[in-house]
Amino acid sequence: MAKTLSPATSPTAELAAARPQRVRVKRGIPWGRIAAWAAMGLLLFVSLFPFFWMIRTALSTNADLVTGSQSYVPDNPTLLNIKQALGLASTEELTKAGTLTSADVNFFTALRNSVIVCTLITIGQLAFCSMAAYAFARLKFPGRDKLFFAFLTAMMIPPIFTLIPNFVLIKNLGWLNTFPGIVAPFFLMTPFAVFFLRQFFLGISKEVEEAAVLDGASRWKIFRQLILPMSAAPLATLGVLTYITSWHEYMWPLVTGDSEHVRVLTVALNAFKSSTPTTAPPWAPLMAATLLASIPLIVLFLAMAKRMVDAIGFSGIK
Amino acid sequence: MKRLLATLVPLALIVAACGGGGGAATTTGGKVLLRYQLWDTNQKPVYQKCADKFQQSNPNIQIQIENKNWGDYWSGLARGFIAETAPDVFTDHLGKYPQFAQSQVIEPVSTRGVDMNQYLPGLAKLWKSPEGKQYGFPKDWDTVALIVNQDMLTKAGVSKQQLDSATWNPKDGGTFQQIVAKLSVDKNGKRGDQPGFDPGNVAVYGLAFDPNGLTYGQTTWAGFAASLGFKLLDKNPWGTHYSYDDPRFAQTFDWWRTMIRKGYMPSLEQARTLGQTAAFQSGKAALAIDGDWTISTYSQTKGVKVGYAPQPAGPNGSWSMYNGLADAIWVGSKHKPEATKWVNFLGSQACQSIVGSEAVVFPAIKSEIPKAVAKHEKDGIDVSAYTSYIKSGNTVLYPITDKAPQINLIVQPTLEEFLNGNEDAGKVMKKMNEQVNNQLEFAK
Amino acid sequence: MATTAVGRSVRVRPKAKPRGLRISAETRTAWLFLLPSLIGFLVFYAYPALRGFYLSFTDFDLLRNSGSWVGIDNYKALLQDALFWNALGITVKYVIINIGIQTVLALGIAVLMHRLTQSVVVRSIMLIPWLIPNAVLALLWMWMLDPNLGIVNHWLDSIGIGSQGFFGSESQVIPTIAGINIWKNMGYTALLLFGGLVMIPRSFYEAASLDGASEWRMFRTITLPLLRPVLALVLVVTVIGSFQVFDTIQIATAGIGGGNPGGPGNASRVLYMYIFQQAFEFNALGYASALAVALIMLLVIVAAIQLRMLRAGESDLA
Repeated sequence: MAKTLSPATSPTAELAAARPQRVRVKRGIPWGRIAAWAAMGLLLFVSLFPFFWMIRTALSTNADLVTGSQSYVPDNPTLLNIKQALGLASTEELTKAGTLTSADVNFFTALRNSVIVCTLITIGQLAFCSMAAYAFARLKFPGRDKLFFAFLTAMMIPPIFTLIPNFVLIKNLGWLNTFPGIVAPFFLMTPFAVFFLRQFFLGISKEVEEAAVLDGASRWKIFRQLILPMSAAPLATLGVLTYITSWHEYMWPLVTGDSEHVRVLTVALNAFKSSTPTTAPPWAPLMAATLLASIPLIVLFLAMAKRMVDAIGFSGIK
Repeated sequence: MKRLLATLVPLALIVAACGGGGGAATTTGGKVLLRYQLWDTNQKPVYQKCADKFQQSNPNIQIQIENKNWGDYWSGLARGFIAETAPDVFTDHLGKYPQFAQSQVIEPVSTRGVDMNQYLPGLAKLWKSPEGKQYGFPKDWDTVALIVNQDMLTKAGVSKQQLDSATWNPKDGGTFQQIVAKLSVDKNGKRGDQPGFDPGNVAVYGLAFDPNGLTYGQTTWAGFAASLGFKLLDKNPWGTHYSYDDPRFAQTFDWWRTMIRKGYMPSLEQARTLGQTAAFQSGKAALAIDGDWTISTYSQTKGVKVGYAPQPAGPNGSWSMYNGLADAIWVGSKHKPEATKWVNFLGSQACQSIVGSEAVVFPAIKSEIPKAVAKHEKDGIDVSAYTSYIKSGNTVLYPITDKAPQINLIVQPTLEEFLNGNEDAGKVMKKMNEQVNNQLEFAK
Repeated sequence: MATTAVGRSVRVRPKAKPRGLRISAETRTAWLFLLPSLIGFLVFYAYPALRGFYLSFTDFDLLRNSGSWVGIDNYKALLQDALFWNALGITVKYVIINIGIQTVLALGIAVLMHRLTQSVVVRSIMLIPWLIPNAVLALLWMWMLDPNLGIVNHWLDSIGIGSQGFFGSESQVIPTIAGINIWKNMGYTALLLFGGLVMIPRSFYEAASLDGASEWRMFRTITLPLLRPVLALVLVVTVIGSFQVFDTIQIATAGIGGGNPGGPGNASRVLYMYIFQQAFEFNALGYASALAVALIMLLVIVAAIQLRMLRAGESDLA
């Protein structure tokens, strides 16, 4: 689908009103605008519908789903699945509904664990990767570009390569089933974060910095008091992205943190997958659990989005 | 900002360090803690009962039953082996144990003092390696039969007896194909045996299709081919030569494709995503071929009266593939003597009698099987279809060879592509067979 | 300032300069900035990568945890492995479809978000697909795209197009997976691009529209060039990520019961899945490592080409 690239024409239109003789006057119906809004609407629908379907499935009884009901509104709406996901449903209720999974889901513990892991990783990455990114973007030192490329190459290392050696290392450190073990590979750096910030730092105009250097400010001071505030938007963005990516981490926490007190949500959700080779997963509880697991992220994003809007107000203005 | 970081980071690290714990405990309250892992949720309560009984006569041992879902079961075990956090005892599978035995991650069990004849014939030797080491005691067995939507059967004017005594041959499908045709209904209401039936527009398929496990065909072609006298391996277990190039196999599989073409069975495309349980339970298929471990799933289908019939009889009768599970002991377990006791108990009459009475699966010990049958009858389920093969002896054992995963990677895609395409069965199977036997020859 | 293409070398210049040369203050500062990330890189990326590289010359068995040197046998086998070439072809096809469509779409969305509406609601909605973990996404879409029970085919049927095989069809499976990935990531990629758009000083646009430039003209002459570093970042990262696609395919093409991921036939057996199967199903860690090394080589070449072509080290803003 060739994306429409002629959205709003409002600045032109406004200015057209002010200086009619210099600018093409757009007549009547702003087709561009309508097309843009239509495209937007379609995108929003496509983005939202599967989520809606997830909610609808979560609120249906499993029996209805299995018989192929396609109604938009659940035939027999029920909150049982949500209760099950939260660990609040009784065994009798579940056996009657046919969705008993004997693997326990300790929802709130898993939630707490996910929050701890993600917060740690985000703090670490924002701190250390921004430092490294600054070095790559602004400081000159021998081997800089080669080292940067090496960092980049790290992104191409398939996780399967790193999975087992890292696992063995964590095991040897005695960090299996502990938070440090789960957080370790991501805490100090990820290639993506360094790459991301370095590109943004490159985009910051040099003049202000150079002035500060001439004034005798140390690099650290410049970094802290000039670059960081100016990069509030990318930093906030990276922070949100990192948080969400760590929230979604599955393979690594599965391997290093399967015991209950450190199990994160993505791993805990395994309880809802197929229990035997030929049975289907219990769709309704599975969707309910995923829904609940996604809500904290949505809340986070909504909270951060506002900060991002404010931060944007300061950057981008020369 | 820096100050904030300076306080947050150490704080977070402290929290993290405190939150962590050590590895898994192996004793609890002075007792030995044995971790026992299985995948089937339905079986957990049953084995809990076994564990309770065991703990009564072994008060210094505590059994902790862990349920790990099938999707993560085997990779979880592999990780456990490497991390040395594997469970002491776990339910093993015939398709996996050869690898484990070769890599020496499971312990052989001693058969001294155990009556190996108490098990159904054939099961125990499946768990014996070529060197003669026994790697488990059979704990249950399963066969494959037809799952029947009784209401649809009646509506099509077919009686259960007719289905029970259906015949089959690869040329025209015998009376079985006729029944399946009658059960298939297209979107205009025409049945498969009526003129004008549209194979491209089917509403209900006579027979559902399980696209998994095509390699050994447990829930598809195995029973059919066996009823022609087809043998996949030169010997089983530990066969050294596959015979996919046998014309009987080609004929069987070719017939399978014809059924799809005729519209009596869903195509691979349609069946691949959600499988046959979904099709059957949503009323899109009248029959299914599945194993007895699925009895509880099918019987619970809302609004559908479900019955079970034996697979159709070919020239040599009605056959089924025959499989069974056993429990394995991890080589790295810190409590091998206790684990051995538990495994022996699981394979003994004491436990299997409980398993039989609960009837979630069929116990391997002959004397306990009637209990399971009786329990099913009490629930209104007639499982004689599954036991019929044991009575008649028309069973073919689950194939055991080296390099099963590699062979699966050759056969499953080839068969799938065959079903989707138009090539001649004889040629395809011959080529495939060469590849398979090449793999076996270069086994480690 | 363009990064020079270097081989897969992970070697890093030693810190101390040869005797007689001062380490400039700037270099010292740079290394301090880099230190945490460097440690993370060496321990969790470089070392495992080197170990993996070593393993590719052995016949290491995963379960036995041992193996012996076999020289380049694995690589010789690889070149003759039909499944390897098949996987390569499929992966490339997937990457092209995925990235091609996703980048264009994301760019359009980012522009829409920038010029049409700055609404936080819109931005949040666009991100919702990204908030769902991959594993669940696979299950959700399997549920929605099933030929019999899925809602999408239900619609297609009712408007007369007829039920499509999607995951079950050899020809449609890769485009379907690409479609799911695009659906999931378009909001996220758009967000990244949006971050870059926002850094472009508004004054440029104001000046341009005063001069009578149309939206499309402004896009081509202002937005695109100034977005180049960020666009480069996005392209490199998404391409690399695409080559490593795994979870969704693994779950969605295996069907219930995990019959044959990578099917139908071998139509979706991407490189990463093949590596995974070799390592965890066949326990052939040595050969799997060789395959992984091949994948890395491929990624390095692709990334180097990309960075060169996009001149990602420069920014027209600075």
